[in-house]
Amino acid sequence: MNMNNREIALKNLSAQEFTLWEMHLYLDTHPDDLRFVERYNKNKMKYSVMKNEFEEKYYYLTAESAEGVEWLKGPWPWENEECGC
Amino acid sequence: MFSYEKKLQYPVKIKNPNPLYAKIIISQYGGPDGELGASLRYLSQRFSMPYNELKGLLTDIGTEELGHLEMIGAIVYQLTKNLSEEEIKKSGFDAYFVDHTTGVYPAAASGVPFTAAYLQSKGDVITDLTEDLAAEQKARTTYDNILRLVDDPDVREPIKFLREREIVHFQRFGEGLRLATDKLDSQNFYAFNPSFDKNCNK
Repeated sequence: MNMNNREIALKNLSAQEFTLWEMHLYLDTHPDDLRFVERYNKNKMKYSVMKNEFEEKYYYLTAESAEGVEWLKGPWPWENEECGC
Repeated sequence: MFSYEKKLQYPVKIKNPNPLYAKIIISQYGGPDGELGASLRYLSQRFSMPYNELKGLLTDIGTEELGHLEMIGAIVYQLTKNLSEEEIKKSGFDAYFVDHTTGVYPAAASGVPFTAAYLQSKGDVITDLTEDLAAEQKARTTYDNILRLVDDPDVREPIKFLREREIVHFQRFGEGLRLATDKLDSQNFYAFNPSFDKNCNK
């Protein structure tokens, strides 16, 4: 899979978000694991920084943070520039 | 409420369209063990879940399944881009094409449209979680079957990611079932239904 800079940045951001999400699910069934909560919070800070960097450089990711032209700007997640779709 | 994030959980970038693959993979969009059924199952069952851990778990996994539905939609969309009429006829995609062109429609690979009969919301914590465990395994088998039939690494990578999620969800649901039975009468888990009966927790 050939990826441009934006796609690489998005993949890194998604990987960090995935780490967080996986920890979040674990904590649903292990809510008393406080050491794990600490690790979760560290990862969460890292994710926030990465998300801000991505949004400043490329586009906003959530409907709450953008509207009109800013929100409508592509590519949408299912689009793939390589095949012109 | 729900809010949208303009990204996929795992990237989908398919170079070569392939209508035969689309015809198979659409089953995980609207087929018997697909992602639409999964999200509706968990997001519906959560209302009658008796314990906070389980309300959280079903909300979170149900939400993740909506993200998987979007990934499958993206795979089918990219696999059916820029097709010639010849390719559509040759691949057997013509049966889908005549009804939906290249729109993404929730149906099984056999063409049967999505139905809520694929899922249950029984209002009983043990019953519902046992269904959820089975559902994750059925979806895992479907992804294994897709991987037997698909060679293109651009398609296999996101499918392999989704397959792994079924295994993780199975693990979490198993822990959820254990959490539930730990709160019940160890002599008889079925003495009462904590999703329905009042004041029954030890």
